Amino acid sequence: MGVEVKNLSKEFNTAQGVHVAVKGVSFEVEEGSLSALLGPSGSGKSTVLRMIAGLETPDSGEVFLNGEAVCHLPPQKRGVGFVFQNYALFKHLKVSENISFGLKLKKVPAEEAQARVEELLVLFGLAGLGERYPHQLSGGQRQRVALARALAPKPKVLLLDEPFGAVDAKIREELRDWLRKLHEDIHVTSLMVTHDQEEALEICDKIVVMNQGLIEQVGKPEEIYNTPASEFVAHFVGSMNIVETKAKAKQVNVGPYRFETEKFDDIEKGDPVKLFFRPQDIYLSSNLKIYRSHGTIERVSFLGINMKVELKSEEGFRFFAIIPQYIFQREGFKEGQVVSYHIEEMSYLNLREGGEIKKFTVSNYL
Amino acid sequence: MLLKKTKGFKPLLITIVFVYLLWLLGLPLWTLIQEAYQEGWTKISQELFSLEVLRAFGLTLLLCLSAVVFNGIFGTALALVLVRQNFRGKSLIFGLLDLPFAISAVVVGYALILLFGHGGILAGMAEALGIRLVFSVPGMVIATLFVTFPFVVRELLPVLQELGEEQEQAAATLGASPRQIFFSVTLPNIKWPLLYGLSLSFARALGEFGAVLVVGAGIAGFTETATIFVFRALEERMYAGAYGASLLLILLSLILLISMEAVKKAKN
Repeated sequence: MGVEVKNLSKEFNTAQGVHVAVKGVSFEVEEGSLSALLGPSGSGKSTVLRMIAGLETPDSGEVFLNGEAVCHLPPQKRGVGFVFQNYALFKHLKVSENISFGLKLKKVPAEEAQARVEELLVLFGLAGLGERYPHQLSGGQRQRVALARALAPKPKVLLLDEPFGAVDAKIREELRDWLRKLHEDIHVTSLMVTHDQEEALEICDKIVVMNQGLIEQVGKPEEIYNTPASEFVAHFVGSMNIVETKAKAKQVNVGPYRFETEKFDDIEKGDPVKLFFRPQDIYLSSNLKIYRSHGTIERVSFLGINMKVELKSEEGFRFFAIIPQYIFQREGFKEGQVVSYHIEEMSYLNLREGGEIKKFTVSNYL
Repeated sequence: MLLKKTKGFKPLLITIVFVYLLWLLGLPLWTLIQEAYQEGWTKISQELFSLEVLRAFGLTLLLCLSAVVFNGIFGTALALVLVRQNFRGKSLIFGLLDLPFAISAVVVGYALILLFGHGGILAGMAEALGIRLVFSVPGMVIATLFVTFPFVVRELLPVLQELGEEQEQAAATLGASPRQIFFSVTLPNIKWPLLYGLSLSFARALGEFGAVLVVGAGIAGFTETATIFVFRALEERMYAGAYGASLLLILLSLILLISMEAVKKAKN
């Protein structure tokens, strides 16, 4: 196992009192994989990463790097590479000196270090920039220098704290692709912290979703997205329509849908139930005969390749759909228009019982 | 906007500034040079190379250098602690930092005499260590340290705050020991403001009069600094010596100011 975290906890004393940042967190990251700690700000993800690096001391728990317990070791002895959001480059050193910093400390012979720096400059698309100072580089270049510096001493594990948080959206996308490709080339066990779910979904092999110091779900990107384990994950990862309702005697009503409670083995009369459905799981048609349910388009927003369509059903139930631009054009949708629709995939959570969210196919339960 | 609208107002303001500065800085300096000229340069240089003047300048230099060394070490350490550590009473220390600016140097000198002098709280300690602090050079060093103490700390606090700890943490994950981190990451990042703070300390020590006079009592050839010498020379109507020493002090200050400007440029 590349990184293993067991029961990690950490409290901070703040002016407002004790803040429990991480509450008994355990997870594993496979050797050679690229994984993400995903969560909103304040979820404790950065604290976990910093504890793995030794930059924070856990109150309890243990960290294993390649099977070896490291909590008693200072950051210097852990063999991790760390990349900061704001690069943290040594401002007074040239790019090449930044990259060779760790090599010098390891007493790598000068010639060998020089060769390694040259190799990294090329690999990281920084050829010819070795003699520049960090302030003479763009944000994207700086972050690549920071990565090269962290990787130069060949660390066991690479830790990245919001690595693309400080660069423009366009550069962020480029860096993201580039990091994925780089990782495919060098296969160093990597764990990155991000609040950007798109970033995590796109480039990571595994995602650990954190919220309020706890782990909500661990899984592959498609598992996290398709079968969110908790309401938080459902809400945080991707867009989601969420409807809260109450099971009546025999039915759960959501807009035009009447689900019979007996078809669900865990819903009884009076249970508060939440239903979730993705905006892209909604079919829309301008032909009112295509689908049984009808609603009015209240608002249309342009999202680039997609369109966001906000609807109000005949029953007064509001939700939004995301449909590809070409379908939107073909159907000729506009605000105020009455359309027919169908929602095929839904998930539900019985709030009385709690537990996991369960997915079902709507047409089988009507 | 106001300046642009009123014609002739801007030149007037500039003239006022010039006249003010001339009256405040230029005229006294000019008079001094004039008087010195009338005394005759031969006489003045003779006075300057007299043993007591040399000793006075030697002592001033010693005080300046102690201010530089002690503030360099303890000022940097204090700034690091204040920025990096959280503890009770931190705001109190922040409040006390500027105390030396506010308290009269004479009062400081007097307080030190009370502290280390006969019957003072720390008199016994000084005695046990075999150091005489009152009417002696070590006491004057302490007085100088008191008045120069805020400069380095005040210069470094904002710089350290802005610097943050990430570069140091990056160095740590790359394998640098705390000593290596300080010398290869922290120090290079604060060297110009540190140098500027040290120059300010040096300048303050060079011109200090009250505190060192009270603590050292200005014994000629022993606890007499350059400024105290000028004061005594004027009182005893040794004008050539007074002018010579004054001009030399001014020259030293000018050299210091010019180098500080260079440091300031490098700092920015």
